[in-house]
Amino acid sequence: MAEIATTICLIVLTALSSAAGVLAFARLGPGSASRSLRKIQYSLTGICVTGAALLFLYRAVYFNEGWRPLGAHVDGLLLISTLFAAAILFVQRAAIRGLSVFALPLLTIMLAWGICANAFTYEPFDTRSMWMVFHQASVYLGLLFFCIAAAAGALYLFVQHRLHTHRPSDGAGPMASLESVERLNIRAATTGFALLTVALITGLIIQTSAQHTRLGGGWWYSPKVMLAAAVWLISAIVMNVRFATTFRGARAAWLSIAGLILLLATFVAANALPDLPRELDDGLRTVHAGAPENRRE
Amino acid sequence: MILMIGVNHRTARLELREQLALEGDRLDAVYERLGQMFADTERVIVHTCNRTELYIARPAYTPPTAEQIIEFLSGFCGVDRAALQAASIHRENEQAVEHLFRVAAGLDSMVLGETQVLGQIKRAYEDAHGRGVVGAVLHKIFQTAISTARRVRHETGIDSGRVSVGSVAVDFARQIFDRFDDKTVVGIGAGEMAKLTLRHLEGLSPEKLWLANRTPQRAEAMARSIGLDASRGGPRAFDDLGQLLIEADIVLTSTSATSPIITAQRCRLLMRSRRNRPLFIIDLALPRDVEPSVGSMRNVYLFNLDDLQRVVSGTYAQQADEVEHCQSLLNEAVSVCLHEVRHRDAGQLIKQLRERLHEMGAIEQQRTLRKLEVAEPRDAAKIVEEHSRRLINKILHLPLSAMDPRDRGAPLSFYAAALRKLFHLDERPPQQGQADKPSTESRGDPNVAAPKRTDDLKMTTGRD
Repeated sequence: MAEIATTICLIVLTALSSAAGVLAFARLGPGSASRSLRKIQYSLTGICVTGAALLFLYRAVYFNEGWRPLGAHVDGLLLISTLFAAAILFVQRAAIRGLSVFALPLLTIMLAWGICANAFTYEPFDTRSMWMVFHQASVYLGLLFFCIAAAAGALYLFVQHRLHTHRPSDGAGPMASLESVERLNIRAATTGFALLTVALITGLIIQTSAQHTRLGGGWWYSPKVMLAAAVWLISAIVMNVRFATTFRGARAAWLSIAGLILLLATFVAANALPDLPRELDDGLRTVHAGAPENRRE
Repeated sequence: MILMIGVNHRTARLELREQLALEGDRLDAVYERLGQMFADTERVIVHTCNRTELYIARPAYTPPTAEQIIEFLSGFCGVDRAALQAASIHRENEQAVEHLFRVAAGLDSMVLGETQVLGQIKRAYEDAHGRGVVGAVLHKIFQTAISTARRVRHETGIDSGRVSVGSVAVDFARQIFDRFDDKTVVGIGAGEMAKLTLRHLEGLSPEKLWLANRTPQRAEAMARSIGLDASRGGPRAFDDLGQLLIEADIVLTSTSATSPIITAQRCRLLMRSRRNRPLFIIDLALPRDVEPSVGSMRNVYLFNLDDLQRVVSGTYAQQADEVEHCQSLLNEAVSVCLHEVRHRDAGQLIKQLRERLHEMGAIEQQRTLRKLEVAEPRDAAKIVEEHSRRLINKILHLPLSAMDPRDRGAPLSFYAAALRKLFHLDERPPQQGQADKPSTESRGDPNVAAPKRTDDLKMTTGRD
């Protein structure tokens, strides 16, 4: 019953988020800087924040039998959806008004992913190890900041395209300045880099301490580790783009988008690839699979 | 009658507008001199950076005329009369009121729908009101202009556009940079449009604003004209251009060079030295100062005059509906305002006329009563008849004495038409033998004599 309620709530939130996304997208058109539309969009995003937060708390306190905030993949997605929607609202106030155009579709994808994770591929996490809790938390929060960086990257490319085609801002003023978007991108990449570093270190500890995955077993060149390392490298470049000036501007924006895509590919590699080496598969299962008593009957 | 004489950014060059700037002591002096010369007038002087306009309300057929105002201004400001005549605009009555309403609403501004001009008009009106030179007519017109401008802004989207090259440049700068207090603006060359655009950029309060010109004096003059604070920049030698381009975040070029001063090759080296910091280049020069291929370089945002003008015209096209809407609101407000002004004027006139006639009547009444006290009863009829004759002559004396045919400047035909209209006098010449009969009956009655012509009426008047 509780899973059905979660799914229904997620469907409603996804619908609200997509409606907010459509309204945000409509603002791209010429002369469509309607204040009332913007207010509706903010209200819908606010409802998404509140709804996702309440659902996350409900699942953490009641559904997962005690205070277990990250009991399953859906909880992780709910956590970052809440924080991401809150970040969208916060950034709107900081004169980067155009971010919602690119961030709200990502929020919709997150929530829709939550529906799938709850209704079709539900699998509770093993949270008995503290390392695992840290790993999961840093991975999900890292994903959150990479989503912000990617949305900022897309916004940067959009604003730059408008400038190169000499298109003026709409009547309500510019969507954002390249400078402010670049700053947001760098901050998000820096935070994402720190969180991803924690995730890699805790992942390393988990892998090396697992019974069947000792160092030397070839796990380090697995798709998951290679992709995670690539994302880590990308975030390192983006956060230092003011010094690594070759990547400054549009290149950093593209790198942020590529970083998110690679991070999502890392999730896919960790959860969906069927034919991993035996010892690696065991290691990944240790990370992402739950103990038998936590599995849903 | 309402009269407007003035110059604005469309009709006069900046130098002439600067000469006609009426501020501070000059404004006091102009008000004083106008008061001495044309005491029986209401007057408001509106002065902004783009316009100097005099609004005058005066009785019809009394000075000043537009020519007299131009004569006065050219003498006072030391401007060539012919040049001022050519650059000035002159509006009367409804057109003058409509012009004021358009100015207040920002429809006549360089930046369509700008709000600053409304505050300037309000201050000009309050200043004139404080000097006691605003009467019922200009009071009504300015009050209505201000309230209508507010209504127009509230009901239309006229102030949401950006329609000058400078403001468009600022709009693009805001899409590139978030803050400007750590940015450097470099102006290269001179020119009217560059000056206006630099004023807009100066309004962003950049950390530094440097001006480079092959002629240092021109750079200094430019710095003065845009009101640049010496602590925040000033003229720099043209030889420093390479270093300036490395320091700059925003570059505005407007030189008369015949070949580009910023080539793609130079810019490539420049961007390396700048560590790929974004560079916003505004090229207002013709021929262009910056090679077009510079615009396709990474982190360089190049806008030339055509690019900016296209945005300006595009904005005007987008605003066309709003302008039309504004104009219809203004037309309605002008019509209502003028009706109220005329109604109020007519009301006061009628009141004055009544008072004047009652005054005459009272004097004659006293005179007649004194005569009746000492007269025999049989003379009473004669005294009353004399009373009527004297009163009529007194009433008609002033209007008819204004119709002296020897006065070549008098608008006789206008007065004659007014008299015919007001007193229902027939236009046909009087029939022989009927000229001396009074026209006391209504027109169209064949038994009633035709009224006297104005010249005849003149002959009947006279002092006792």
